[in-house]
Order: sequence, then structure tokens, then C-alpha cells
Amino acid sequence: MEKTKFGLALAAALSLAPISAKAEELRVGLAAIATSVDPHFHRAGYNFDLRENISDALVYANGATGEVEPRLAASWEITSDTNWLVILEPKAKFDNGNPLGADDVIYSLCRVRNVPNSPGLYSGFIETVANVTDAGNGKIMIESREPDPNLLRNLSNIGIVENPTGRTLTYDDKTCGNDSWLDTNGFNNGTVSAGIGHYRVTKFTPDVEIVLQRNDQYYGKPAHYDTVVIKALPDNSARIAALLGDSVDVINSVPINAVESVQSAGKFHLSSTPSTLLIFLLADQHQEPTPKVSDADGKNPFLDPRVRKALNLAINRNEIAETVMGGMAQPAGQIILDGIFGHNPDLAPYPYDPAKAKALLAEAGYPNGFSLVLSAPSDRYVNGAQVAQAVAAMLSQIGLQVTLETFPRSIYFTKASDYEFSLYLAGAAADTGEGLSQMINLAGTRDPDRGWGGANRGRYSSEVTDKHLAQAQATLDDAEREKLIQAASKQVYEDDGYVPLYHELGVWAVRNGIQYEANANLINIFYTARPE
Amino acid sequence: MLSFVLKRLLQSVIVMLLLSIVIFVGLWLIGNPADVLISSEATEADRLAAIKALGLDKPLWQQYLIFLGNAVQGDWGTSFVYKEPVTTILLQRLPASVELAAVAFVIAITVSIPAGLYAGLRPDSAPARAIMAFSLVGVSIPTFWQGMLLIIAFGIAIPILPVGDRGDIATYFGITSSLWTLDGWSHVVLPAFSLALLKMSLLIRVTRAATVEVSHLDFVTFAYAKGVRAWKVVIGHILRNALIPLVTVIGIEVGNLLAYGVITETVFSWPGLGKLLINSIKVLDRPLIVAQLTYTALLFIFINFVVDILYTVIDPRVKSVMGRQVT
Repeated sequence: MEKTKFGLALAAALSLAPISAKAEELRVGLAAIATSVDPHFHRAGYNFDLRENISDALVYANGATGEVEPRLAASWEITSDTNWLVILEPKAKFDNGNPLGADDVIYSLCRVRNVPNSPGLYSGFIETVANVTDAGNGKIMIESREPDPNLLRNLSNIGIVENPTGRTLTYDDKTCGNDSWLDTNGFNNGTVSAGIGHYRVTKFTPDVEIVLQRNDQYYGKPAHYDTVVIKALPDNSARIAALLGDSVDVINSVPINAVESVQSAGKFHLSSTPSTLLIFLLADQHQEPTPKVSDADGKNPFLDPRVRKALNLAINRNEIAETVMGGMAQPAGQIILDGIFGHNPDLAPYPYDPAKAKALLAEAGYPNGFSLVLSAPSDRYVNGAQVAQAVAAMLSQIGLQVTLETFPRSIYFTKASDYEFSLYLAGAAADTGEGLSQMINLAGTRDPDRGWGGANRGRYSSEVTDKHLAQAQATLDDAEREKLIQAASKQVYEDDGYVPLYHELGVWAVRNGIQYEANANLINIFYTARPE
Repeated sequence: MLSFVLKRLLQSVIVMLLLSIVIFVGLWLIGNPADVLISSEATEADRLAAIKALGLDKPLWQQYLIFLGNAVQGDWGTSFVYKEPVTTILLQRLPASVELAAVAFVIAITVSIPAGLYAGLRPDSAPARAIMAFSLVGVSIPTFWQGMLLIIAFGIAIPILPVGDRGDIATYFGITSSLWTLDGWSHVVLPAFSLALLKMSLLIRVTRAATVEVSHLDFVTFAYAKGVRAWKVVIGHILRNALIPLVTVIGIEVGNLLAYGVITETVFSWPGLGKLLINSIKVLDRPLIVAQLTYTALLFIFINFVVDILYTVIDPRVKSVMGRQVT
């Protein structure tokens, strides 16, 4: 008996030997790195990055395949319209050896609303959760307020941490009867574990560097690299220099003007995929007069659908994608990216037809156009300011007198939220990896109480769209729900409510010999990276 | 002397108070940090929650008084973005900046003073012309550009030096620094030279001008006539007098090195205060910006103070003036 055990251990050691012999390290330079190790501290793309690698959620919404994969939830079953029975992964253990329990899940969901000084809570992801209870035998029951098809997708953003209270909390949407919560700083300085993940954080220096060590006790398929060093390289040229100068192996958001130098170096390849991030123009469809339009007799021309249609016809999307974006964009005719749940394949791309656009303007009563200020952020999106310039030029070709104003994002979004713009450029992605949340966020009538239209700062509003979206939100059947989302997309298309420009491509530059996943949610997954 | 120090202290407190008000109002005018920080997918309710969590729902004067009250007790606030105490973050970054500044300072001084002195003593010689041409180039090239050139030259085309970052660090005598390791030195050389280039060129020009001016004065001619050895005249008479304007410039430049290595730190992704400042401004992390700028002001006030003391050492005449000023 002893002998067999030893033999097994030896065999295991030998089989591991080639991997552990050379401690393999992956060095990644990112434009923005996580601001905290705390998985619930700040809802932002760069924090999703780290969270997905160090703190598993119940499920993983795979940005590369669009599928929902099991993580801490080994499997699940919908027992009624609003009840989800989730079986927890029995092999999942926290760093101290404690197995995952229902109380940990309840504690984590409760903590989401109780992170002091959070500059942006994750609470939007658990809004529909009505109750979470321990169903015994390693199962939990999640109840939603109304039928919510995207319940698990939303929960895929909530990392599960260990419950330190020693008792099982009773879920509610306030504090769950608990008044002392894990402190964010504890996660940052390593005294509190961030949960169960492929990696553990061994060093965290904000805005400089994060070092990850592989978690060898991970319950699932282990990550390949022993250590991952993540460096903050916000400056485009510094990021490129670090790659070319061999201090990192992978960089994200490759600047368009550097693509050539990366390729000509001969040591790297580009890994890219269209992302769900839609860059769009949105016209003020609420105020009259609208602040940044003049020579229109005190009217808001964008309230006229013909004018909005003219905007859509005036823009040469292929030209923008090819020339200004250097091919790093996929022209868009609707909000949802092709291949993402809810995309409507029947909507034809908007044709580029400046003559017709001019005619529509004349028909709407503006044969000589009107004066308009186009607003755009200067430092938020890849080549955003240049795209806005191209758009301004295209709009002047249909007879509008366009002035372009750009602001750094620190000012821009405050102004947009205060409705100071008449036509503005912005972007929004699908956090959940499917189209419904993105549609609600962009095309739903802006309503803070309902949590709709958060990025709809032009206040596009259509009863039909809202009806379809509300119905989709309550439909659990995938095929039926997709039809409803597609119907909403069609309505937005027909209303010319949005001027979709393109979906940004996520572009990574990777050293040859390394395989690195291009993720449609623009998230960096380190555990799938491996040598080729 | 004591009252001079006290007066200086009082002045600095007023300067820092005014500065913090300007920063507060300025940042408030720029925009709402919550709008930068929240996700574009967040709901309006989330936005309001963030505004409240960051204390931005209170009127500005109230926010300022709260800040002031805490600052007096030594609490400079908590970063909006990192939720770490501001002082912790600053102390984390300070060593990197000090290292870079120290190496750059040494490079700048050791090159510029001898070179400037030579160019001032032999203004028409060929080497002097070469030195002046070099300094002109150094003053005119923008820092970010020469930084990129240095990276391309020594990091990519001839890859002998690492690009970006601080390198290995080690702790000796209770000081943690990358200057204790070879790897650290290989990392610091390039950014330090890049940072030093402009200062060097400036100091060469100042040294030369002061040297030219002093070397034509009567006491220098007299010293030569007296038969004092040439190197003694240069060190004891010319350099000592030329140092007076130089010390002022060096003082300001040391402050600049320590506080405003922004461009060099960004280009070389050096994890110092400059890079932190730029990143905090981008996301309107007010507690960090306020603390950093106040630190900068404090630094300059301190350096000016040291410069004033140094004057009295170099030029005894200043001491008597200082005494009179106070009475």
C-alpha cells in the first residue's frame, strides 16, 4: 500500500517535472491594470481582468466562445421561472483548505453592496437577485425577482470570497444583517485571500505591477505559466518600447500606428478579435432647443427621424474602419456585434449615400444644413479623436456646418451626463457577453430607478423598443428571447435612434512561441496562455 | 536666524493652504470623478452611489473643510481609485523618484560644472564651441522625444539596456533601492541620462555665463597678477563666485527633478511620482493630486530654504542682509 502511494507520487512528480523544471514566466504589459485585488471593489474592465484570473465566480462567460462555462457552480438547473438550483463545485477549496460552501456564496453576494468608498459598485449585476439560500448538500437556490435569463451571466462577474463571519447570512438587498465586512486593503496587502482562482496575487503595487503565482490546488484545469507579471504601461509608446525591447512578452491595445513596427520586428504576432465595444454617435433626442445646434430656428433637428437617417447615410463606415482605424475596427450597423447573442442578421449595413442624406435634410427643412458641434472624448477610445475628425468631415459633406470639440474623459462624461451635448461620440460594451444588457444600457429609455439606459445620454426613447426589451428580460427561452432582442434592434435601426460606427477590435501583440487568447470582452485571460 | 526660519514656515503654511484651495476648486471645475470611474455599463443608481461613497455629494466647501480637518491630523485622505491611504501610495513611489532624480542630478552636475567652467574660461576654443553646441541641442530637444530616441537606440536597435521599469531592488542599511543591484543600475542609466540632459545643458549655460562674467572682474585679474596659481584662481575665486547664481538654478532644478520627472517617468514607465501624478490627473483622483502637489510645494519651499542657507555659506555678505531683513 505504502509502496503504491510512493509510486504514484513519483509518477506524478515525474509527469510534472518538465513543467516545473523551468519556472515559466509570462510578462504582460497592459494599458491599465487592476486598481485593487478586492474582487468587489470597483467595476471596471481592468478589474474584471484580474478578478477572472484570481477569484472565480459561479460561472465564466467566455468572451471567446460566447458560452457560459461552469466554475464554482459545477452545474445548475432552472426549477421554476425564477428559481435556479446551483450545485457547487465539490473540489473547490480556499487557500486555507476550507471547502466552498453555500454561506460563502451568500456572503459574497451580500458584500457586493457593502464595499465602503467604492468608486463603482458591482451591484448592477445582482439587482435581479431576490434571495439566495442554502439548499443543503452543497447546493444553493437562487431566486430572481422576475424571470431573468441572464442571471448566471451577471453572476459571472462576482468573485466568490470566503465567508469570515462564522455564520450563514440571510440574504437581503441591504446588509444581510451583517455590519462588519472584509476590508479592501486586506485584499491588497495579501492578508485576505481573494477567493479560489487559477492564480494568487503575490505582489500588488497599484499602477505599477501585479505578480501572480499559479494556484496548484486549483480544482479545474491548471494554468500553464508558474508566474505572471503584469506591468502597467499606460503610455502607448512606452508599451510598444517594452515589447520591442524585450521587457514584456504580450501587450494589449496595440496602438494602430505601431502595428507595422510590431510586425516588421519579426518576433511577434498579432492576436485580434472584434470586441463587443460599440463606438457610436448619439444625437440628443430629448431637448428642444438642443445646446450645441444653431441656425435651426430654435428647434432640435434631431427630433426629426429624417435628420437622424441623414446622419446614418452620411457616414462612410468602411472608410473609417480601414483608413482611420487601420483595419482595427469592424463597421457596425447595429448595437450588437455579429456572433453575439441577440445580433440581428437581417439588418443590412447602412449604405454610404451622401446625396440621399442631403435630400433628406432638405426634406426635413434644412436645405442649407445647420450649425452643429460634434463632441468627442480625446483619450478614451482607440483613435477616438481622429475618428471624430473624420466623422465631422463626412457630416460637412452633406451640408452641415460641423465644429469638433474634444475633451479628456475626466471632463467629457460629466458633460455628457449633464446633457450638454447635441451629437456626441461614445462607446459601450456588453459586460455580460450577450446583447440584451447592452441593448438595455444603450437603447432602453433612460430611467435611473429601473437601471435602464445608463449610457443612453442622448435619451433615445421608443415604446416599442422598451416593450421588446422588457419582454426579453422576462423570457427564459433562448430562441424566443433572441427574437425579441432582434426585434428591439430592428426598431432602433428603423428609428435611426443610434448612429453605430464600428465595433473596436481587441488587438494584442504576442511574442512568437506564445499562444495568447484574444477575448471579445477585452479581458486578459492568463490561464489559457501557453507556449505554442 | 531663528525668526527667519519661523517666518519662512509661516509663509509655507499660507502657500500650501492657498494651493490646496486652488487645486480643490480647479478639480471641481474640471469634472466629477465619479463619471470617470464608473463603468459605462453602470446604471444611474450606481453612479449616485459612487458619488456618495466618494463624499462628492456634499457641497465643495464642506468637502474642503473635511479634507483640511483630516490633513491637520496627518490624514491626507484615501485615494478614490485605489482606496489606499494617500500617504502609503506616495511613500511607495517616492524611492523610485528619488533614485532617478539622484542619479540624474549626479550626472548633470559632474558633466555640467566642469564643462561650463571650461567653456567660460576658454570661450573661443574649439572644445568650448562643441560644449555650447551640445548644450544648445540639449536645451532644444523635447524630453519625450529624446527619451524615445534613447530607447530606440539603446533598447531596441542595440539592445544593451533594458527598457522601462525599475529593475531588481534590494535592501541594505534599511534603505530599499534599486541602486543596490546591478540590474537596477542598468535600468536607471537610460532614464536618468534622459532626465539629466536638459538640466545638464541648462547648467552648462548658466555656469559658463557666470564664469565669463566673474573671470573679467578686477579681483580675478589681481589674483592672477599676484601670482596665485591658475587652478587656485579658478577654484577659489572664479568658481566660488560663479556658484552663487548657480546654486539658485540647481536648487530649482533639484525640485524639478524630484517632482516633475513626469515626462521621463511616463516614457520610460518608471514607477515614480511623476507617472502617478499624470495617471491620477487622468482619472481625477483628487486626494492623490492634492497630496502630491502639496508635497511638491513643500519640497520647493524646503529647497529654497536650503538655498538661502547655502548662500550664507558661499557668500558671507548675504548673512548680514538676512539679519537686517528680519529686524
